[in-house]
Amino acid sequence: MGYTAGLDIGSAYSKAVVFEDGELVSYYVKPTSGNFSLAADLVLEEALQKVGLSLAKLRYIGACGLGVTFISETFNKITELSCHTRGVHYLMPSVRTVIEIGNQSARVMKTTPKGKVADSLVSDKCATGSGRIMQIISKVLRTDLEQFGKLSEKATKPAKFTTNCAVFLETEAISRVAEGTPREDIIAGLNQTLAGKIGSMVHRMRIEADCVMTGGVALNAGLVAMMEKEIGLKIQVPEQPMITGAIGAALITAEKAEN
Amino acid sequence: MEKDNSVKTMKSAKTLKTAREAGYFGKKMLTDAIKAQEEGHPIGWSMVSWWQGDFIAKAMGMHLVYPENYGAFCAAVRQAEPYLEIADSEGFPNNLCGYARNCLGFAKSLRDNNYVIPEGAPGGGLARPVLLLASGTACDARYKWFQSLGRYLNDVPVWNLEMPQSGVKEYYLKDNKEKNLRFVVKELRNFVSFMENLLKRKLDHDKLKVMLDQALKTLNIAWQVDLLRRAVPSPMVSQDFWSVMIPHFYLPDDPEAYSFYERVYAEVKERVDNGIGAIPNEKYRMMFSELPPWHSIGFFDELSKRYGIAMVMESWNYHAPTPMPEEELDGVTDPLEIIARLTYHKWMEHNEVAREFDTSPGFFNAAYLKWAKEYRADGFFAHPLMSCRPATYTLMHTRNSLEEKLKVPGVVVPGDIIDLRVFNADEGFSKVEAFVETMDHYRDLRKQAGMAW
Repeated sequence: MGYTAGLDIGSAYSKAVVFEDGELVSYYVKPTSGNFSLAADLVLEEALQKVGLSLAKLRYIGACGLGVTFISETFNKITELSCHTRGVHYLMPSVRTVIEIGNQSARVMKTTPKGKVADSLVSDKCATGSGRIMQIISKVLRTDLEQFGKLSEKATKPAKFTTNCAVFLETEAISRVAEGTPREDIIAGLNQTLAGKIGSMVHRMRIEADCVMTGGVALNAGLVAMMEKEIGLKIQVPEQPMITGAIGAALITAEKAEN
Repeated sequence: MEKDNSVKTMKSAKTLKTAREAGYFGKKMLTDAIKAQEEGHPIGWSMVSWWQGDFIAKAMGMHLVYPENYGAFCAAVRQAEPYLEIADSEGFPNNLCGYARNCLGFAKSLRDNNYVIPEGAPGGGLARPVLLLASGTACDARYKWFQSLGRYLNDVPVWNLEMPQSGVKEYYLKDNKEKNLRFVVKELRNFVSFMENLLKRKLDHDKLKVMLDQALKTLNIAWQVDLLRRAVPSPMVSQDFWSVMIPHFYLPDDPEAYSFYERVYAEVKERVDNGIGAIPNEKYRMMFSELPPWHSIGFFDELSKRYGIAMVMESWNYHAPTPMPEEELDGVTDPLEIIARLTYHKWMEHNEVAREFDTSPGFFNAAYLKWAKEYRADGFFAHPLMSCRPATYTLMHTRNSLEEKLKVPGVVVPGDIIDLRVFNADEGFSKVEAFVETMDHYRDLRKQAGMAW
């Protein structure tokens, strides 16, 4: 089978993984920084370098993500929903529900015992419930996203947001700052709003355990905790929640090529 | 309006020869009306009323054109956007029905050109009407749409046809059906009086009866084509149907429509007899609901090509109804009552299935539960429209019903009938690609449950 790479070129982060005979041997994640093509080249190069490989050693490349069409190497394009379910199944075979919150959208997927898409729901044409809102508010609060989880745990009175819209959320967050609301409460309020929005998608799917959250937003422990409360299920988070799409892309590509 | 020939369309190649010929009927309606107007005949703009008002108006010498069909036509040739923009600039909200916005935009351009159809209007345009024939069925936008046209078509009267749309339980109440039918017949008598007054001529009942007989024959053969479509592989797909439907939906009283359908039947039958599928690689069979993206029917060709998906059944409202039971028409000689029964039957015919599955409404919902089994559907393609509430709010319910009761999953791809600005084909492909896995999974579940397909 040899080496296979998987790429997930997202609007905020690019991710690459390398598989050797079905085993994950390397991964790399870096900000896309507005240049899909360059980010794809660099992230793949880094992932290969980590295991001392060159591009020539790769038999197949599978890819997904918003920037997929900018990849310069020959690759198989695979839909993100399939990639994420397959990637999660590889890491956590008992998972039956995946909540994936990327920069552009939120997706809820039910998976079969074989890691295929049993059902799915995507937040369409709207930044509501996406990681983008987190990025916007982190700028408003001048706080790194990585700190969101811990800060929200310190909240005493989560701020109320009256909208789900990303644009108006920013406006409201600015108003809360001006009113002197502590940032911990603003972050907790934001988490609550997002948990409500994504939770309603989850409820529409009638999900099953085990449940996992992936995507960069899964690193926000405060949101994960609120989501658990919202959906009434324990939510697991993989050690590296951003690479499931790339893992799936590699696995599906290899599978298709071998069959 | 300048015709923009550079606009790229996403038309379907269609699989049936007859489907490729069906566009003739759409153009015929438009050009016949323009010619009729030149000859001094009255023109009516009519909403789809499931034949409630059409035959009466036509029997009285009025030529009808259908703004809903015109909207689909403009969208299919990707010429709707200029009219949508006019409607936008007139202050109509962009979540208003796309057909209505297209029509309002056209009507304004007609008025602005002193009621001469502007050059370059798609298909020759809609001839200036003397009547706006509205219908209270199907959706809320239709109540106000034709009234709003008064801004541009002053002095053109609006007549609204009503028909009770009973819920499933109400339908089975004692005497409910007969009372409703009496109401519809009364409505039609009022409409006839109004028309006689408007046109200063009497309704020719014999002519109406002949038209009605012809229409019932056409609808019957259209229904028989639907029956043929149950075959595996599917001999005709939605891309064909959405063209072929025009004659039975708008012109069933036209003998030419009947002859056309004889040829459709023969072509589809030949495929069934020889085991020929509309698409060569049928792997999955899907039903479509509700109103299609007229600007991008080629999207479904691509689904066939990429994933082997045959769209085997679609939008309940476009289909010819099952023939009425003989006893329904026993002793009924009044053509107005036959029309009332036909339209009422079209709306109520799925109540039996709705009752069996304990769901509601019969229309918009139950038909798909029946068809899923009959057409061996693997999946349900839900197309919610930003601009159409009735064709959207039932979709999630139908999707859930199909999944719960028959283990047929659904995929949701939002868009619009007319406005291609809100349809993202790539996003649709991406969702359907993943949905193929979902259909595989549910096939296994149906097999485990001992279901027939």
